[in-house]
Amino acid sequence: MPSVLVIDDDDQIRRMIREALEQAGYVVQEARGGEEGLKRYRASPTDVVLMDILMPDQDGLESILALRQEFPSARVIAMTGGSDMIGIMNFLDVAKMLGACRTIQKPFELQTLLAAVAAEINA
Amino acid sequence: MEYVPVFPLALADQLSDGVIVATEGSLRYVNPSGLLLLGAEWLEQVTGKPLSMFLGPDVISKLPPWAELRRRDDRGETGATMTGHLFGLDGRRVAIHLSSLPILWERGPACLLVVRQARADRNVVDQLLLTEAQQVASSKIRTVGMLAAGIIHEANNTLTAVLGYGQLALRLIPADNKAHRHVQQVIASGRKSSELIQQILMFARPSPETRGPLSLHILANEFLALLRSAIPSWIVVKEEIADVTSPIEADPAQMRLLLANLIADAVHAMRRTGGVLHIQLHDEDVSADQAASADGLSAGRYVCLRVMDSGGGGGMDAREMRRLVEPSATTDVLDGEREMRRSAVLGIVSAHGGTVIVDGSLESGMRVSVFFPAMASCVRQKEGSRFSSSRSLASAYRDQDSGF
Repeated sequence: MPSVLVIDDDDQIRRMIREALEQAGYVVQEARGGEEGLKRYRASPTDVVLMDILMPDQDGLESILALRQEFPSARVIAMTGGSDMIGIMNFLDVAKMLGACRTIQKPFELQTLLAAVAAEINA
Repeated sequence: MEYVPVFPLALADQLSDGVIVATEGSLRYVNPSGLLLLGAEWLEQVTGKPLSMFLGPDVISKLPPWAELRRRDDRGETGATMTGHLFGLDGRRVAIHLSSLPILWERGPACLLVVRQARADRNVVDQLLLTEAQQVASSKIRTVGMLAAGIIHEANNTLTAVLGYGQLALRLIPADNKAHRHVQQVIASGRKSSELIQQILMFARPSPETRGPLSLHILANEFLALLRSAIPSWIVVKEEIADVTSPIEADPAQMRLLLANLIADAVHAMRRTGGVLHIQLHDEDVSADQAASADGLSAGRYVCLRVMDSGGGGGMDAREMRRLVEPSATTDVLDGEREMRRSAVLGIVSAHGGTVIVDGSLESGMRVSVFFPAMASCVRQKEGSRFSSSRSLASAYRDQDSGF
């Protein structure tokens, strides 16, 4: 069965994504932050990593960089509720530059999330 | 010598000219505008200090002898007007016009000095004050922007959970169950909030200027839908947006900013009293005769955006708006945020080759009319507009006068 690692510091969102993915037939692992996510991936690589960007310990951008340096074939979907409204940066654009295959802006429809994961698994 | 018997301090505090009262050659009272001129923040910084510390020798030498009131002579002098220089605590040297008048102060003789910056210097100081106010406002806006970015991140995360769990729950509830419809409502509300946030982001997101043909009525309808929720419920919004307006050459982001600023100022005017916010947008033909009497307009077709409040006393009046057109005419330090709004309005309109006409009064309500030239190649008869294409500037104003 295809597997997904969900890295998000928000417990509610992580559990919600887990439930949606499990209902769709995926095997799901969870991590609360970038460092924990990297450890879990090392221990048991998954087909897709769903990575939140704004997290307190190691943010998603750093984590994508670290993951892709160690595992160049890792397929990462970046997601964030953050915005570029004060002109600092568009996090999702940066995530793509660092190697994320796809990006999803929060809030999203479950259908959008499932379609993105399926597309990466089939890629 | 005749002394002016009454000196109303409350009036002096409102004056844009500097007012200084001196007894025995020392300062006793300075109004806020005078403090600015002297480079002081508080009265205590200047009271008790000798006049000669602030007034240049070119002024001191011309003051009548009674001005320093060291001797009580009576030569029948009633005052004097002169030009010279003033030195501020901050080391500034300011060219001034000064008038002096003998008055009674605390039952004794005193000298009243009314000080006005010479025009050339006024421009420089005004510019400095304006820049400072703009910097404060700009820094405040950036801080608010950062807070808003944080709030939007949290709101997006919350909505992710609302939408996600709502959709998961919906799968578990049979379609004929009442709870199914209730959860559908929760999801619909979540989607609506999400759209609202996206619209705010679209407005706030910095973007390079992209000017091109723009149908202002489409942009106004979309943007007003977003702004409506930000207008307090005690202000009634009346919109008269024509079904079609001629295209103008404009940057959409700047037009949104213009609308937001005009509406924010009208709302500010009625924030305590409530009232009617009237927004009109339509094409307007200005004839050569009308153009001759309307400052800044030439004959032709315009797209006219008009924002009116019904009064309340807090908005920008015609005098204040004119100050921006003629910056040299002001010595007031305006509230930074409002100053930014007004600067933004005039900056945007002027950058788009438009004209702003302001009339009305703070009490009865202000009317700000912005005219953008319709694109020459696109000027055409409107179809389905709620306004007559031959509607003139004068008739539009007449209509306003009767209904505003």
